[in-house]
Amino acid sequence: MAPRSPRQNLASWFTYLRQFQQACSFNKDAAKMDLLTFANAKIARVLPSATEQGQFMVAVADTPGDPVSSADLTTYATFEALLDHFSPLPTYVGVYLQSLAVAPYPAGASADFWKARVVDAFPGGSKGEPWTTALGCLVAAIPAVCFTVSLQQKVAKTVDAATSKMSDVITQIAGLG
Amino acid sequence: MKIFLAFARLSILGCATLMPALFLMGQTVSPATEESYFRYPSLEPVSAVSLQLADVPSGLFDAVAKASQTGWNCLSPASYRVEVVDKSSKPTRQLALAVVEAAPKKDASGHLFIRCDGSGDPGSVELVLKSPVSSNENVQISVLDAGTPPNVLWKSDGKLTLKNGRALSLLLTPQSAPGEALSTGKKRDVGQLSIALAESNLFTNRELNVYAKSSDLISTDGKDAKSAVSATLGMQRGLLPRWYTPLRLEQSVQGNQTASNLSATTSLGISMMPKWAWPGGAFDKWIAHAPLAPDLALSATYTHRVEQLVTAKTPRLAGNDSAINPSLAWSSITLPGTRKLFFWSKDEAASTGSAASPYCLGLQMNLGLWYLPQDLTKSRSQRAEGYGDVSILMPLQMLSFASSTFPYFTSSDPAKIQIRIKYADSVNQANNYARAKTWTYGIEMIK
Repeated sequence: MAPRSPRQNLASWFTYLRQFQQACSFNKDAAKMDLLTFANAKIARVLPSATEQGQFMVAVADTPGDPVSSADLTTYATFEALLDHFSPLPTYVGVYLQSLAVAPYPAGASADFWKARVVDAFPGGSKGEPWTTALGCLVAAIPAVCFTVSLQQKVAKTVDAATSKMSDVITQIAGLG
Repeated sequence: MKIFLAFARLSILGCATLMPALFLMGQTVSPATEESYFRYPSLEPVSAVSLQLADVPSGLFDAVAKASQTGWNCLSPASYRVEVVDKSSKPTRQLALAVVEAAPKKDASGHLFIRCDGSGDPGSVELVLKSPVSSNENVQISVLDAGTPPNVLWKSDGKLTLKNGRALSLLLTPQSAPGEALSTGKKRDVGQLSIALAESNLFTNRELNVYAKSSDLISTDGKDAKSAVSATLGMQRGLLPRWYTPLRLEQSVQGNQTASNLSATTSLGISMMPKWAWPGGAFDKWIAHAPLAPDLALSATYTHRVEQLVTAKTPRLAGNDSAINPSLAWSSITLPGTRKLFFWSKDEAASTGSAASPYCLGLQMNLGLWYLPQDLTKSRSQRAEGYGDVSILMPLQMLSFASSTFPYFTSSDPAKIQIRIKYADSVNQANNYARAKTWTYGIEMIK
């Protein structure tokens, strides 16, 4: 079996987030939220009682199969933070960007890529071909509501900043919005 | 009418909430954390170490990615070594693993993970421990390759502690009690030993959680009025396989240490959130909006008093008592129409007609009934005592004057501070179901 591609893993994270939202579907408000609103929704508001928290834990233990504990529901304020505890979105964003960066980064260690300067990984800044190609790939992989034009413009400023590191860009994209 | 002064319910975000933020900032946060959850429907408690294999800053992701190219299996217990270490990170004993599970268990297509390909999905594994761990022991996790002997690919910082790593807990607290009251009415100096013993999972059969607990206070004088013995054996299981319906049956025996006061209580309880539908349309938009169903609970208790120690302060009670207590808790009702009553200029833009807007009055209620079949009223009919409370919640943000007077309290989050007006018609189970009616007014700060 071939390893899943970085793009598949990034897309999978949003599938898991949708499954979390489906697990909250007994809350009619949560069921109607767009994906970004749900990602940032306060767990304590969506699941106010122990019974509702129990139902959520039962549902996500089945699909996707995350063993959420009662402590997790208070430790992590939002559903994005909770999902990141099991499947960290920054990793999937970072690994996908690493696969799209110029040589030698795709073949190197991820930890080194996170510390690399953006100008080295994507020369030419936000208007350069490496970044515009990467941006197009990110737009295709991330639901539009979670990677808005506004966020793309903010990310472009970070990409253009001379001192920016890849961890700054990864952080910004994984923050969603 | 009683008036209670302002009370505050302040929930403080735990430090661990900062973990994702620190992660994003590239600072090293250990990818190994404690995870204590339950299996369903058995409700069997599980104590595990959650290891985030996809953690980049710690170097674990790169180590796993490299090892996976040579067939390393993330779901094999042989791929990990979990040890108790001392303060200098020197191993003192090795802990056995019962099983390693992927988290999530299924990929995005719904297929169970049977191995890791090193690409980061599954993002974590759960190392379910077989060996007990004390809460004051530090645990270190090592990731091993498939070599003979295995090489360490990655090692945690050895600072992890597991609060729930031991199913059996025992707490002994000796104490002296000068001038302790005796059941005879006299007083004398005594020594006491408090014993708290609990076993959260007697059998690991995965069908039913059976637990036992005991809480005792043994005194050097058998007539010590505070001496107490309580032993409980309970079992619990989810009634429906995919819907959270915990059913609990408990048998407890309690009394004093000489058994001159001894009773046995059997209790049965179930709670659930029903599947339901709420009317939509104008009613939902303008009258009442309830996104969540009420929580329902039903409990029944039967008490048989074997021996009773009758004193001037403790009159003789019935030999057999039973009670059935259905209850309902509903905490998520809002009244969208009330937006228009208070001229909240800020709400117009924020609410945009949504019935779910927090910029309106909220409603919470708790209702219940104590049915006491063996307790007869003066007219010789069986006794039933209803009780309940209703709270009206007013977000401080909705008061336009408050936004200028208390800008911190009323900004950004409309439900950060709320006024609660509560009316309760309650009964006190511990005081022969004595009834009390109270009004409560308060200001609450919530997270």
